[in-house]
Amino acid sequence: MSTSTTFPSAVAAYFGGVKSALLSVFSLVLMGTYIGMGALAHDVGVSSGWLALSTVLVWAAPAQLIMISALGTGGPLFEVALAVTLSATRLFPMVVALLPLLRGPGTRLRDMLLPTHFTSISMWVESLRLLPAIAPEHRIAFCNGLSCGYMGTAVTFGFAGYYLAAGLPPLLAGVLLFLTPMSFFLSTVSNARMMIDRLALAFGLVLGPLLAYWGVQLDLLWTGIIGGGLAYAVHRVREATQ
Amino acid sequence: MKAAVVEFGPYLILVLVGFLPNEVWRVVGLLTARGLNEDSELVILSRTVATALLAGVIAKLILFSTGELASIPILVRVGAAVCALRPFCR
Repeated sequence: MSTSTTFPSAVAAYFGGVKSALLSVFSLVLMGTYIGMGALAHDVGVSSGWLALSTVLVWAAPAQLIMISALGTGGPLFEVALAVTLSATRLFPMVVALLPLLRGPGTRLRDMLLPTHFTSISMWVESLRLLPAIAPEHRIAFCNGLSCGYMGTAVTFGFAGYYLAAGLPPLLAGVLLFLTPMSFFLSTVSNARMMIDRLALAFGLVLGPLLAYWGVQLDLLWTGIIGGGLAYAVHRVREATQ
Repeated sequence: MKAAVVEFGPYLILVLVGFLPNEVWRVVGLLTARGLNEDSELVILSRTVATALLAGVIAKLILFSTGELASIPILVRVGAAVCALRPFCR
């Protein structure tokens, strides 16, 4: 990344981000995910406005899925909140890894509030891929544009799914659902250029299903801690021996 | 609709059960990341933990599919994922 992309203004950087979002495969993924989410919300009986507000406020598909399906089955609210907060632990390491990329010399804490709220899997993967090539002073605006592009897509297709409500043929629904893991998979693979990231990816791919198969509680959290910790340890050992 | 939703109102539930328990981890991340640069050890460790966790999510979605995706055979799903890796193997 020797040459960095510069924009004439922060506004241009913002719209550069929106454009990147709309042209990326993740928009397609979000369409599929939120068409499904909209259909689910319709089945459960919440309003389409509620769904849109939950997309903007929660902005994490797994947490929304837990919340909406629990509203349908009528589980105790405390248990729903606990499940949501466990699913959200992944956001913590993502924010810690992302914000230092965004921060320039004059960045204030309040400039970081929006990117912090916008942090989600699709935005995180694309930001880590695209931000190093963006001039540091325009990274926050670009990142906010990218996130608004994704969020706008999600809200729009949430409405579409709500009003289409399960009129999709099963095979098409299956294909839409397959878009999510495949696009996350391929973009994470293409992001993992350094040995340490490749190791973390490989450990996670193996540990995730194993821990789930063994019925370990909080399997994904342990996958992250053990897989990420191992990759980091290997990286430290390699550095120490070089 | 369920009694809890009628009692508390769907928007109050959205904030208390959806927004706050989710957002708290982002805010903890924001406070932790203050003053760290992208080469600091905690940031590198956070990236590996997030990457491994995401990889776990992906592998589980492909191997243990639910809903309509489960109607596509597991060999097709895994085969598609492996074939898609070809451009990266040089």
